[in-house]
Amino acid sequence: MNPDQSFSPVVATELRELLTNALSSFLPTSLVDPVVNVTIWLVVAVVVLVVVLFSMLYATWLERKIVGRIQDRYGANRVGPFGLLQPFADMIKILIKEDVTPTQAHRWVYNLGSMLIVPPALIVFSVVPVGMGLIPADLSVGVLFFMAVGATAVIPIFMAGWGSRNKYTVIGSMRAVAQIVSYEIPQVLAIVGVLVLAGTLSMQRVVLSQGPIHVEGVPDFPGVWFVFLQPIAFVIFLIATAAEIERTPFDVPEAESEIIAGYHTEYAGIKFGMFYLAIYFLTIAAAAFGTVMFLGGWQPPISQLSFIPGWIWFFGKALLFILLFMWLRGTLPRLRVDQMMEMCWKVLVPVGLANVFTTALVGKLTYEIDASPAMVFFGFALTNVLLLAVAVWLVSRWRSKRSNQGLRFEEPVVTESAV
Amino acid sequence: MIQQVAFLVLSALMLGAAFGVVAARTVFVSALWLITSFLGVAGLFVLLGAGFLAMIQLFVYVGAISILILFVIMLTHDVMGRHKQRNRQWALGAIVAFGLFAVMAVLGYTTEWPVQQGAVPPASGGTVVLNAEMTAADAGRIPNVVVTENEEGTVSYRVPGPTEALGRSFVTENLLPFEAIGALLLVALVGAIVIARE
Repeated sequence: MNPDQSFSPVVATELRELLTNALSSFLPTSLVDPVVNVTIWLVVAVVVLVVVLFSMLYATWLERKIVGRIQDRYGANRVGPFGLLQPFADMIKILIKEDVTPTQAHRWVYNLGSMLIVPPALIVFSVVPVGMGLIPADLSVGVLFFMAVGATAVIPIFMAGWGSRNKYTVIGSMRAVAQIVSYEIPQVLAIVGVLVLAGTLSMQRVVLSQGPIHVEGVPDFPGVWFVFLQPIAFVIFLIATAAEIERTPFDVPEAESEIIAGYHTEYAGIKFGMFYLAIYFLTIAAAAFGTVMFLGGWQPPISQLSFIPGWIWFFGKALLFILLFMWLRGTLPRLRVDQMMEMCWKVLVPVGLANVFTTALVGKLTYEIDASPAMVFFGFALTNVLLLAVAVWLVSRWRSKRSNQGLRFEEPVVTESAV
Repeated sequence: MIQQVAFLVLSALMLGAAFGVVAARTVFVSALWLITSFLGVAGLFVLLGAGFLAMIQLFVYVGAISILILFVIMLTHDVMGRHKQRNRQWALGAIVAFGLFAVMAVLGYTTEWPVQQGAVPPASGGTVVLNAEMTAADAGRIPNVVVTENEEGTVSYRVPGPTEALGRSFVTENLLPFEAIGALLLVALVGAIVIARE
């Protein structure tokens, strides 16, 4: 059997058989296959949509609870037990709000901006594997697809900022795009380290390369989660991802104390809801991506635990990521714009480049001498310690340069007689 | 059938969007039409079975180059204003554009493309089965074919998938251009960091 058939094409051979049997009784034979295919695609799309939407609704609830606890409050607790129905109340509230459009707005660009922000954040889920065979579409270039489609999400931000014709929205969108485009570079560099070791661009194969569960004929190097071989890349990925999804400490584009709400200042009602939706979708997508790339996706940590279904592992690990992002939001203050840019260009990008280089070197060397797993592990531990030293050196250089040009508060020139 | 419909839809999208670029009266809207046209090109790449190129088109053109264009537009004077797309030189510009189009069309029609010579690599990877119609010599001529010989001396021919074929050509016959472009991009990146440090 071709190894690809056992895990790549969608789910549900039973569903396919059931549908084929049901339809072939009254449809001409030439039409049965296309109709069955389209039906299965629709079913898969609806399932993905519902799962993602519910995850999003309860991510908002979880965020309010957790950030509330961190700030010594209770969080949502009025609608339903533990405030569990709060997301639905919010949804109804946002749907029935008045829709206000600024008179000076460029109507087409303004409205399209709020509509186009959601699709990229949703489409990326079509290549996320949540289990063996549980993947809407196992593209051979899945990893690239995820990042490329995610990258298009900056265009609606520009449209929103420009279409509203408000200087705060323009500033907000410029900040957002500068931030996302800059942090894409260290994010991709961190992923390249993983891809070099996995030797594939398919999301499902990346998962299969890092766990105890193997499929015949699919390369299974290294067999452990990439977070153990690429810890520095993992940290770079975490920081860059937090910046990509504009979460604290990187919520510079919507810094409410500086520019009201950034690029979505002028949106009201459901159009604002779209931006809210998209940000949470992107957070969940980023958590799923990090899980696939660094935490072994749906693979259990050891083969003895493989009786627990893969999707439970997957959702558990993704939840860890989401909780981490919420924790960061509750505890860290916001960076300044210049600090944010310097962090990216002076620290993350150089370390990311060095990581790609050392990963390729160690990976190739250990492959050539056919090293034992312990040797591989030791090699990567050594290079990562070196990289950590480089990162610490870069940060200390950056901070020592900063200290003499930081914010200075002038002594008040008011004298006693003036008072 | 479906492929032809998809091709027609994508072509209409690309041409319509390209017309929007030159017809829109606001620079920003022109840029948005340009992005739509880039998306159509990515769709064409998918139709041609070049998934990797399609993703790179999306990543680089839609996700990066058009962002640069939008940035430049946002930083210019009077970004909100409406302008005419024509000035006194529009006739000259049209002549140059049509001339360029004619040159490309003639080149396209007169070139002997590998596809016309029957050298179409299979869309997905797989091992070549040798028989009366496919001799070892034929198999050796398939572009990017990977020839392996096992210990018993049996030679097998494997056609890599499109992405793998691209990767192989980068580290074999096109190594020098690939390395040169890589060095160029690295220099640009280092340059950006150096400028940022000052």
